[in-house]
Amino acid sequence: MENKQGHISPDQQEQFEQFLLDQMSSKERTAFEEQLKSDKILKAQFIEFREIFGFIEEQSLRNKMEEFHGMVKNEPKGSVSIKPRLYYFQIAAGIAALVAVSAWFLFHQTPNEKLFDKYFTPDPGLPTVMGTSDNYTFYEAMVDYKQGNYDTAIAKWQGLHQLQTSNDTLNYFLGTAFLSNGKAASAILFLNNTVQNKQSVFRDDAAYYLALAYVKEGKTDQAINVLKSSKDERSKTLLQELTN
Amino acid sequence: MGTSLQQKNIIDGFRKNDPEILKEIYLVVYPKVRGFVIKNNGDDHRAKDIFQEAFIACWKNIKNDKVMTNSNIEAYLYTIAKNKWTDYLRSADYKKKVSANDIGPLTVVEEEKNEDETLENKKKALQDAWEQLGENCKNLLNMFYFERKSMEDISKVMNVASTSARNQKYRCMEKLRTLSLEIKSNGK
Repeated sequence: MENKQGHISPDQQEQFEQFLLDQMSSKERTAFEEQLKSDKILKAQFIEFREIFGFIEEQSLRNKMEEFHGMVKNEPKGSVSIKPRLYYFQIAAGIAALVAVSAWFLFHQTPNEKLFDKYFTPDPGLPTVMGTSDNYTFYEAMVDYKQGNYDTAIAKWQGLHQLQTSNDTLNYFLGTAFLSNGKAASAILFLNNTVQNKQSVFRDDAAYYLALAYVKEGKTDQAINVLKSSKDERSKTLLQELTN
Repeated sequence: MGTSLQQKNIIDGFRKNDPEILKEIYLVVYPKVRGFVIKNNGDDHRAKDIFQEAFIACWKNIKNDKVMTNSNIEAYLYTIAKNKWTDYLRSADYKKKVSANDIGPLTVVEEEKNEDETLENKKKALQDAWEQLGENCKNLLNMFYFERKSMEDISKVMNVASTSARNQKYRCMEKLRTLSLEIKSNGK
């Protein structure tokens, strides 16, 4: 094989990859190692390629570690500080105010809002470490989503959505993120896209959350229509409650 | 340590960048390193930095066959992190801030050699080139070289034909390579 220094051909690149990814038979491996010994240009190219390969892996690992770090359970600091008594009074006052506000909402909610609260729990999200997700931004946004940072997750997923408007996974999680963030009208747009996709593995879940979004918006009839198209058990229960 | 995973599996997992193995080791060892750093004049921020550098060093050493296959990886990683923190405490940077008398009785078990200047320059050029690379290229290269996804799987994710994904991967890799060479030769 002719080697021009400074240029690596696609075939050459694939050969380097097969070697580094351990995808060569022992015979191919030996032959390649022999080639490296006799061809100085090839050897230089290989060393350069190996460095870049290692660099990409390291970059990816650094991103991955950030994801892992988000899963570290929060532990107490090394030392415990003694807070002034006023601090505890402030906390107590905060809790009392929260209880009062919650009670006000509870008694001033519409029947649909009560129904929404009864049935809605955010989708737990995809396991971000299984390699099923497709890229960094998606992973990162999933971590944000799981931590309840819905605005951040939405911003990242929307960036990806511009490139893949029909991606059912993106549409589904954008929808559930908007719904978890209290924005039912926006959620409807994205969840509808996934519900329209009959092949999507998220279709039934999307139908359930879409119905809940309609419930929250006071559009009970539309919620019923969506639920009728779903085989999901949760959807059946919700449908029963809406039609009774 | 290391009861839930066989050491050989851990080593294989590090070699193949298995996300489950990497995550488990990270989550098991980090709290111990954090405890050590905090007990020895550090804080959460420093603990994270030092641990992640140790994790990278451990991962590299496994990939370069510098670790025995029966080694206890959790203990090995903890030792690297501990030594890195000890080195930091003994460094001029730290001593500028704190009196040397405050340093605890720590033992250095393993010394990490500094990478030479040429390698550092290459790395810096690659880093700059990486930052200039588009998001799509970064994702594609990550999927292939780190996640070890097949070109078929990548093409499905990208919603393009397999040949097209393969060509794109080639172009992205060449772009990263030529950009880094340009940056290096321009001395940027």
